[in-house]
Amino acid sequence: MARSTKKGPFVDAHLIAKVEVLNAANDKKVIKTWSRRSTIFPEFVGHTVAVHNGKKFIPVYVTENMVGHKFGEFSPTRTFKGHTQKAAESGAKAR
Amino acid sequence: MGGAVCCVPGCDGAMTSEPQQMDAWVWLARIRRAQGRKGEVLAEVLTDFPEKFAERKRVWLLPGEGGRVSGAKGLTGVGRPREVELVSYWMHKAGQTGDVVLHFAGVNSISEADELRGLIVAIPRGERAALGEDEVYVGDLIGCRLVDVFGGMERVIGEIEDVDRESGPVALLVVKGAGYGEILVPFAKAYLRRIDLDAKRVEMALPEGLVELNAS
Repeated sequence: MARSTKKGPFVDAHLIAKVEVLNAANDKKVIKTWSRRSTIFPEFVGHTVAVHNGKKFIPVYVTENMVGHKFGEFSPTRTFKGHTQKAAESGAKAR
Repeated sequence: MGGAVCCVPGCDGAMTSEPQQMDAWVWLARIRRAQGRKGEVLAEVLTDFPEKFAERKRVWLLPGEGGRVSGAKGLTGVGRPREVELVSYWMHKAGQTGDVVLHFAGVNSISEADELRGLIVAIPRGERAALGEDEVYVGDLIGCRLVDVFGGMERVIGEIEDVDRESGPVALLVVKGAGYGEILVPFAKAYLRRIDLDAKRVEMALPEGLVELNAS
């Protein structure tokens, strides 16, 4: 069942408090968190949040199109990355 | 994800002869099986730019597993890349499967097409599609040294071993650092300062705490 809209999106208070401190100081330190359940708020955009996947922290650089998703969506807990595609023509875009 | 590859010296995009080294090729597709009755083949797409098949009239067939370029009339050869003319292409089931149907000149029957099973469709590295201003090929990034230039100080982090594009919208550089172990670095424009592919060097201003993130 979906969360009631009356409550608004959930974010752990300790996490939003950390990012608000960084925003007030205009700082860009990496924030470590285990809170995979927290919703990404607009305040997180431009920060790097290290989200724990049960084994290690995965750095997540937050962009505008991630707002509304949960942090856990960007820190996979399983490691299968597909079979090798040697020298395939693939590009990476700096966002 | 792209494996370790290197550039072809002097390659200008107008190459007429085939590169001699296997790592000078860029793979576009892997032929799965024959498709249809007229010699077409079904191939797994390995490129991010399948629409470029429309512009490519010339491709090469590389040895698949077993190292043999077997083939139909005019395509026979053992262990050597063969140049073939691409007559037509279309996305299989309108692109829903991630496969492409290719028709090569000189392959006109099911049995001829079936002999191409397992071969790799490739082009020389110099003929790759042009990228946007803030884009770079994964294969070019691999092997580069990552240097942290935060605060005006230079610190060599390590060598880029892989690029993870599966975790989220921002790719992660997988860096093997001397003394740091494996480090994941978001390939974000906000951190990127300079890429010098000739010197195999990527400069980024990394935020505090990123390199030591998983240090035990």
